[in-house]
Amino acid sequence: MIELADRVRGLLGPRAVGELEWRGRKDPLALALPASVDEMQVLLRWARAEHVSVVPVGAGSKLGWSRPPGPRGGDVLALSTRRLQRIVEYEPGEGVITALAGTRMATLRDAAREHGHWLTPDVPAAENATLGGVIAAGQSGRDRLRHGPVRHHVLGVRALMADATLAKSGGRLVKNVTGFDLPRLFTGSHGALCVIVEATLRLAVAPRVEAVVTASARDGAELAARARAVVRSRARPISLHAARLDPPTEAAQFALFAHLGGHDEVVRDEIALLRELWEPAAVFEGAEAVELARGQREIDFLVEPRPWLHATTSPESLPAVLGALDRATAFLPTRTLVEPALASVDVQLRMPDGEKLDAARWIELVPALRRELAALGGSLTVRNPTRKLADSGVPWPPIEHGGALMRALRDRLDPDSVFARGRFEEDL
Amino acid sequence: MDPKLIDGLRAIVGPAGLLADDVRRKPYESDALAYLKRIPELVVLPRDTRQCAAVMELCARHRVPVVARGAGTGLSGGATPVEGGIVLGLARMRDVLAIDPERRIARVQAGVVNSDLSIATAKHGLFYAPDPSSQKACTLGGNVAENSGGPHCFRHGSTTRHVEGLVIVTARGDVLDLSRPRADPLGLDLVGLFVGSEGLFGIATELTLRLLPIPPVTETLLAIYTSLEAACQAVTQVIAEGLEPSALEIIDKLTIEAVEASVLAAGYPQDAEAVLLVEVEGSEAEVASQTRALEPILRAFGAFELRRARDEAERARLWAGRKGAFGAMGRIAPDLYVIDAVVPRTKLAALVRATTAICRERRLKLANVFHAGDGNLHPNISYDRRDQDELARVIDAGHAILRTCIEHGGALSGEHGIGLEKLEAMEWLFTQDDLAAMCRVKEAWDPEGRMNPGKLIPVHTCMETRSALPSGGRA
Repeated sequence: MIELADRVRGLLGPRAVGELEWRGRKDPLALALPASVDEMQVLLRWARAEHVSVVPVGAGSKLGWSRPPGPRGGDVLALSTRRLQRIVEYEPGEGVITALAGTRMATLRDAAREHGHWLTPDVPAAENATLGGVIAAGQSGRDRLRHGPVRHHVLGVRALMADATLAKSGGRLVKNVTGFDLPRLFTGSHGALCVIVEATLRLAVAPRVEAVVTASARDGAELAARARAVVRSRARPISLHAARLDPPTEAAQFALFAHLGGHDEVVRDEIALLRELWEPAAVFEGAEAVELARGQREIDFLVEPRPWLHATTSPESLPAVLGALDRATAFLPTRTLVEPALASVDVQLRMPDGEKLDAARWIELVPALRRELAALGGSLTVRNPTRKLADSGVPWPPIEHGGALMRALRDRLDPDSVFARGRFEEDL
Repeated sequence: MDPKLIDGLRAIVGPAGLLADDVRRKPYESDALAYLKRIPELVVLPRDTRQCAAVMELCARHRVPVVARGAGTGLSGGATPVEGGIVLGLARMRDVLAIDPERRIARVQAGVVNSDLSIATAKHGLFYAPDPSSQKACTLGGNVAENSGGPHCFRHGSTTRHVEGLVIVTARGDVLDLSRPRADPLGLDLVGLFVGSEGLFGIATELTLRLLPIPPVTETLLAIYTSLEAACQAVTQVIAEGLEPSALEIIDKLTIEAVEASVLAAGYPQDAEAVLLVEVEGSEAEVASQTRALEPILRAFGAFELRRARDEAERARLWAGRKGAFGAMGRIAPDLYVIDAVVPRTKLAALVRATTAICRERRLKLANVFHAGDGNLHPNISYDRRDQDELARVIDAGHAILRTCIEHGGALSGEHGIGLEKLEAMEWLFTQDDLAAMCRVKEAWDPEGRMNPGKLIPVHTCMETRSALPSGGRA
């Protein structure tokens, strides 16, 4: 690794080198921090010639969302886009924003907010998360219920391909079908196909007024029913989620939050409606609501470097999936977040101080739980697994369909394996 | 065409699914881009995924090119037949397979007509949002291939945002089942990549589509202007103010005249230079607040009259005029060249001005009807294709308009696709490196280049990409 760092230093200078701890890998990776696209091209050409595998990263906060790069023990160099920070274009009347990949999401969010726009995806820890990292990880926001997943909002991308050429696809336009939709291919590609260096996002309109309505649910079934009532109603919340109470009470296992936003009279109408649907409900408005919504987003354990189970299912199976997750994790403390309308559940595994996750136990448990959830129409991933767990490969579900085509895409776009393989499956 | 292939195909689809004689092949000679045509060697019409896969497998064995076709309403030559190839029509695959009102999804065969889906789901209080003007004829499979739009995509987004899953028959005849809807794709987003691939990757035979609840309240407004530019400026301001109508459509004077003289007469005022059709939908509170905010903006830019559709019948009539505008233009000249271009929404007025000048210089009759809210222009040029000189001027004007759009930060297509029509223009917008990335993606799906060959990406670009591969293109 030291040798790799030295060679990068020789190519790009002393400021362009660091190291990257990668949860799930034994040793830190050498990290290249190029200051420009030109420098990245130099690095990619060199890596290709020297058979060094490159793994593109942003700030490195979501590395544990997919498999660690292979081959283990081989020369793998992390290439970060975090020094490419700039808003390239933001014409408020247009409703789109274009920035370099290393630009922090908070920078974009603040710029957009100033002109009445809402940056979607509304991700936690936006001060750290980069635009390129969010797109590459396919990270949708807490606002997904209203605004949809991140892949619906990436309008254009400029990316460095494995041969160091710069390829543009899409554009800075809200509607555009010129050429294949490579932004969709690159969103969620975890650095397996290219280095995203610039991207354009569609912005939403910022709500003029915000409110948060809270209520409780005594169990998974009531939680699902209360969420369903909202989804079936005329209300269009920005987000709807629930946290398991710790400790639960006789009357309530979950606290439900609906984040509302829009024109004043729309929010008034929705508050009245939710009061009725969720009787009894508490309402927070004004600065209190904004703060509560922010707190709910940031409380997200999803940015902490601890393992968590990410399960998705269909709304009708949600209570059953919650039950299955409960039973499987009953032997250790957990925290559970639910997006009931989207039927996704995140369960953080909280080890008591000084104790380590028993990897052997989880290596057995995860596939069994995955089978149980699959029978309910659900799926399961372990994010941020420990190294032993990551080594076993069980945290990530096998690709059911289309693996051959995904490999063909990889082989065509990166015939020399410049980008580290194994982010999705053993050689993919 | 090899008789063995013809016999093999007939065995798969039956005699009714194979069109071999001249008369029955003729209607497949072009899509709605009528100036490009070629009678296909053979038309094959499978009934289901299994038949489609068998057809594709046989075509792969015989190395025969395949052009997929829905209803043939496409405007970019995406379904124009190619030399030595078959046309694979999906029009007999028109079953709605399942509607799940709880999850708000529908599973349909690719040949289901767009508007039939919303009709089928209405009893559940749901509808399918993308609504191309041709929605009473175009197929959902064709919409997926082209990533089609429509007026209400302003709020709801183009087709790609409504496709949750696909069953795809690959170039080799394998069935790739990506139909299970998931919150996020497992691995690479093949479904998202496929939408808008214009038949160059494979054939989508079954679609899992997202449905939306029919909004409780819909308000349709017609703002009437004495200048087209003013209408454009009003649209730019509506967007800048952060208002969220579901559709923002502009119709100009010539189009108004054509519509009003047709059976689709919508009651558009004939003394107007342009009308802006605005629709707002949502809860009562939402529609009321949006409408209240909209009205002063529409008036500030000179709307001298603002009409509200009083009932569903009037609303339907206003929209029938908009959606039937292309058909109504047939009164002006035998042929209509519908240009599809997209520009930043802040540049609408400048582009409309430039487009008018381009057509005037070439002595062409221009009408505009377009999705203003999305910056998606449709300059419509009336012409007579029998007049070769006029046809040449029309094509030249189309090129000039596209170049102007690119100069203003726009692109080549908002919803009709590239097909054959804009093949050459791809090199105006994209570099060879941009196109090379697209070629490689295409080759992953279709290594032999048999799927809709010669469309969307200039052929020589792909040839160069192939020769650059280490294995000399046989990977």
